[in-house]
Amino acid sequence: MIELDGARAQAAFAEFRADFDSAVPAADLVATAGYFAVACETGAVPPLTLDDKDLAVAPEDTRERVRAVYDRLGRLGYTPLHSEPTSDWRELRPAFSEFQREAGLCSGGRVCGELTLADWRALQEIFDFETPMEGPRWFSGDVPRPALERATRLRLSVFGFGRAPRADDWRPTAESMAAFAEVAQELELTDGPLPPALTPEFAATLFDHDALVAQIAARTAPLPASAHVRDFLVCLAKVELWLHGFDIAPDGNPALTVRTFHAGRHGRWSAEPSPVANFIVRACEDVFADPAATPPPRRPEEIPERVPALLAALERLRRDAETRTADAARDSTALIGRLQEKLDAEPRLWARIRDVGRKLTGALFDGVKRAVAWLARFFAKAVDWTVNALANAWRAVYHFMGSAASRLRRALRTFSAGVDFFTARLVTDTAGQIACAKSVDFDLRVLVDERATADEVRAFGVGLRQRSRALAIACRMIRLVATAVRGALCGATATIGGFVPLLLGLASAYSQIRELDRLLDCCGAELDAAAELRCR
Amino acid sequence: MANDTAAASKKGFEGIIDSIKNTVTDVSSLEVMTFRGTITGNVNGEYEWKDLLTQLKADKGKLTLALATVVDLDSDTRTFIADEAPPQWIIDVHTAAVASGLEARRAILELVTNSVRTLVSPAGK
Repeated sequence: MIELDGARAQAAFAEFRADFDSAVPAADLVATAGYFAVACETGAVPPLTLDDKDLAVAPEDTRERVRAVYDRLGRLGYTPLHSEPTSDWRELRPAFSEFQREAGLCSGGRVCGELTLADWRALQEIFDFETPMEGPRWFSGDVPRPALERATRLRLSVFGFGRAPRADDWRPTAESMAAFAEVAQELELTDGPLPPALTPEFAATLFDHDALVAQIAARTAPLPASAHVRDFLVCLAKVELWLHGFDIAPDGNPALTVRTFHAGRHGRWSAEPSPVANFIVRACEDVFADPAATPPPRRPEEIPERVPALLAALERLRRDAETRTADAARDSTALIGRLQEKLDAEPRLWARIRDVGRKLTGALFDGVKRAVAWLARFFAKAVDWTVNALANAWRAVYHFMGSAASRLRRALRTFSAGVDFFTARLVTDTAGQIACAKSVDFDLRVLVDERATADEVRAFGVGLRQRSRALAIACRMIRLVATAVRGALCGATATIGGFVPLLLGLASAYSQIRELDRLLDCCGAELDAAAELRCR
Repeated sequence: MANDTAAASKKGFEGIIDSIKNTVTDVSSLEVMTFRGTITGNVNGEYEWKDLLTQLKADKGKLTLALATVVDLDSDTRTFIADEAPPQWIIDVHTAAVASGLEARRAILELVTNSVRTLVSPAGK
């Protein structure tokens, strides 16, 4: 819901509503455009004018952008910082308006309170270490603007001189400015001595962070053994390391113990650490230590001697990254340029490139087509193999079942012959010329008629022998059935007695089946060849 | 009366003992006899050995013992051969009858002993 501000916006809104409901063609669009213009002008709609150039330095999301402004204004002392940053621009608008007035951004009758690209850049100039500052705009004559005073106080506090600005105390103190001027002179950061006041020269020296780092990194002379110098160098190293992605906060505290967030190491993510990066990491570990870890091996007074080398390494790392980026861009530009030259020199080159592309596409398509055909053949073969395997399995089962049925039939026939022989009292041949009487204890009386031929008598003997074998096989079958029943009973009680009896029973049954099968094979053929006997 | 009952019981018990003794004696040896003769009647009826001999006698058939074999439990074997040596096929059928009797009896004995063993040791140990 847009909050209307002012009678003009209210009138524009009423006009918009009236035209919107008038049903006149295009009147609603004209009314919408008119209302939007008035609302922007009166501040009812925040005209965020950040463009794509600003996206590199400003958060893209509106909520994050408001939070970033809130953080900067809080550090500059315009508004108290809370643990939960606000993302409501209406809460932040008074403080931002004050910043705009103090920075001289509301001149020319401009209405303050809205964040524009110019406002964001101005805020970055006095807050960001990497944004160069346009000095003259921050002075009204020789008098520094209050926003610059707040930024100076903040920058000095980051370098270890004094405290950060607050809402009721934000001007830089004379002591801190004098201390920085003294350090700048001792380190020969300027051609002459700096005045201990916020002059354009002082601001240019303080806010030109890159120049500060470059001068100290290039310094070869021995460093002064001053406490101010040592603290300043430590704080400057912290700022540089923070800017390079190390988890060392630029807190303005010259202490050498800094809490880490990466398991006791002041880490910096790098996919392929270069020797320079490795050196920086080692130097960082030399200078700063985690409070929970062991103290740094070097004494505090030795630290300043290591800071210039550290800063130089950081500078080299930054230059390398910039060089790689520039090289890549230069290579791309050169490649495109050479290609353009070739195309200009040879007009048919483009047609050849298209032909090559067409052929490449054709080859690719042909390859895909071949791959698809190969997959089709593969799946067709797989289907064939599966069908054959199933058919062979069915044949095997059918053959096995047929064989099993044949063997079962033969076993039943043999069993029947054996039982017949066991129960018979008299066995004769079909002609009734040979008889064999059998008692319970298998005492035999054989009676041969004189008219029986030799072959008939021999065949009767073979048949008699065969019947006794059938009886033996029948007995084995009974034993096998008994073993199977016993095995089944043991299996039913396997949970009590264990599986050993079951396995033994199965093994015994299997061996008996094998033996029985062998006997049936031998007996079957003889049974067919033997003479047919009658058992009664 | 009681004495009569006791005497009858004693006689019945002794009869059982004698029966078992005879059975054991029968089982302990295998006896096979082979006869030759003229069978004038039909032997396809429901006959046992005694009925067959009676039938043969009634038909005035002639019966001659050709071969006889007794095999004891310890495999002692005694064989009778008639004065007039029988032809080879008679010897063959006699031998087949002996082998058949031995094999059938051994199968039955094995079945019985195995069943007894199973009953004594149901787990098959």
